Amino acid sequence: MTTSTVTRSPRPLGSSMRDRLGSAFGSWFLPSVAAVAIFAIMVALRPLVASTTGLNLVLAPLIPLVFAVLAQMFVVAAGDIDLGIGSFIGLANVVMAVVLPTDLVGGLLLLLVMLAGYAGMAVLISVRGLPSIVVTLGMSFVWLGIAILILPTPGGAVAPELVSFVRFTTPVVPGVVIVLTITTVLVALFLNRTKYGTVLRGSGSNAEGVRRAGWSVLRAKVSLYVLAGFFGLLSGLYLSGQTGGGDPYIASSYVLLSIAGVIVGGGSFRGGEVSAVGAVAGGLVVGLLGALLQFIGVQSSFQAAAQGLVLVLVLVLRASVAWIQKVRRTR
Amino acid sequence: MTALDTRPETPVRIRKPALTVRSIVRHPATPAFIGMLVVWLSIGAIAGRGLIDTISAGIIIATFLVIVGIGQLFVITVGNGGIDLSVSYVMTLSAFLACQIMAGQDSNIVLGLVVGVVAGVVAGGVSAFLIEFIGMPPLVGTLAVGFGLQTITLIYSGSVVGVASPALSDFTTMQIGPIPVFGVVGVVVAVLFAVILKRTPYGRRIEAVGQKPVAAGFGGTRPSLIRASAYVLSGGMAGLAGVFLAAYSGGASLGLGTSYQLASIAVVVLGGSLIAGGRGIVSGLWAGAVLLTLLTTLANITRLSSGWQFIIQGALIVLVLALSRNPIARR
Repeated sequence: MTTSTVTRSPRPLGSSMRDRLGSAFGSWFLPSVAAVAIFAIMVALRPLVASTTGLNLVLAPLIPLVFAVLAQMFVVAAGDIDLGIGSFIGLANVVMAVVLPTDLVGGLLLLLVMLAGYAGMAVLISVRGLPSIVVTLGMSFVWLGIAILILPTPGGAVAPELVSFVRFTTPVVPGVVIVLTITTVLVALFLNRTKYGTVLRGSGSNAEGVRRAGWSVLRAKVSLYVLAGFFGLLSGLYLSGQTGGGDPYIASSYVLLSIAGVIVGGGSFRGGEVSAVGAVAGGLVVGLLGALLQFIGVQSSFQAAAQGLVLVLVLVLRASVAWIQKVRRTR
Repeated sequence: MTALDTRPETPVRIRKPALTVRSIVRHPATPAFIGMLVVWLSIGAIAGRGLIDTISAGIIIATFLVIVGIGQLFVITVGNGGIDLSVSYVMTLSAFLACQIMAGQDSNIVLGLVVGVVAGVVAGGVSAFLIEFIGMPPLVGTLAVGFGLQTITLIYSGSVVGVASPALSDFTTMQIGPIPVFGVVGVVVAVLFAVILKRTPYGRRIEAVGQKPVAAGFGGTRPSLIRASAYVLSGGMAGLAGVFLAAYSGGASLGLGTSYQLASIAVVVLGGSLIAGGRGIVSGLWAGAVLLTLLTTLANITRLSSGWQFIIQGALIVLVLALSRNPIARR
């Protein structure tokens, strides 16, 4: 029922930009409506969800996922796909749970090296013209391997300061809502209202145009990947604070979920066409859907398939909308 | 750049296999064979184990990878960003299905093999439908199918206790003198598919579509049908490999296929096939599979932790990709 709301989106493709609905609302509109709708269903099922505590409980587990979706969004904006984000977040989690508490400087250095790794991937993909899928898939095993070397079995303990930072909340407005709002506004303003944000989006959709305008495409790609890495680290930070321990495999499901979030949020694989608000809403849709399925009592083993199915459905409906528009135009 | 780079693979050159030293050295499969020899000899030097024992055990285990890898090679060679991430899930599901049907009885071998392969073919067909007719990116289509299969496997495996038939298990480990029968099967399969790829109209179409779909279309092929057939083939091969692997390892398990997702792509890249499609090298794939298998043996002998094994495997792919001679920008 919720998917039908998302799927009415007539505007995932650039060709539909002239659509009347499209000029009224951005591509973020329908995923946002879908997120609110799913949330409303959850409130209807359990009214306590709407309380401050309830909001914290329901939304807090979604924050790492939303950050992962934003990370994926930057890579998708570059016209690439990141299959390593799950392992990367897992490694960040392990570093924060095992290395940081004992060796602050070493841990921070390690996190910086991980960011540099993302910059390196961008250079490699851009300069050598490599397929991002294979490079990020290969690197995902490197991240996972390092995480397993540091922490062979789940364990470790995150520093209490970190935990209290992540669990910060106010009595009136839940902390998670504040974090979500600030992040969304900052990223959206940066991508849509600053000069460099436009260059970054442009480098994904029309690299040649950006190059002729005098901007470095390589530098834009590196920036996008570093931003992706940064949000991956943020996701790891929140996961660490929430779980209190480390586990190399903690975020393995985020690979598909983050891609799903970006696509549900109106992003396109052709690069450049992304929306920060849409991505956050898409992440919330994907995450809330999982929570909703739990509410209804769907077995957890079904959830991966259900979330995968939503992704497939959204893409199928988008393809059919694009097809209908094509037929109309040619007539 | 693309036009220049593809010139060395004109059919003229393929039809004249003049066996000069230069042509052997420059052959794309050569690095994989050299790597294989180096690892093989270093195992002998480090462990003092018999070279014959090492290689005969190696090519048995490599055969599973060869079978999956060939399917992956066809999908990658057919181009258009083709990649099959569902192989590991297909393998696991087919293994469970076949084990339930065989149930330790030799009389059910054929039925078990057929059901395993058919399951893979159906999964490949669904992927092909999503990708070629709905228009999903291959990555998302196959991953979505994969997650669906994983869920089916999770639910289905809970109620199944199956054992592979003893005769099939014996077949995978049988040796005639020093020659491992199943290893020979791997070589035969590789030769068979090398002939299919390079000497039959179907195989030529696979490479042609991978090089220039439009030109291949003018040549009388339907690119989307050829591409779809590659996914079906890949699914079938993964199903077959899953059944054999279950027989070899005594039964099916949930993690059975996991390592083959990356490894199947790795062997294609290692073997000198172009990741952007248009050139598939089956001989190199076989050498790459033996190389990866021996590398695992070497890691086990030197007691490397699984973390290092992941790192080496991931870094190897990225390195080979970065150093490969003619990278063609695709994404």
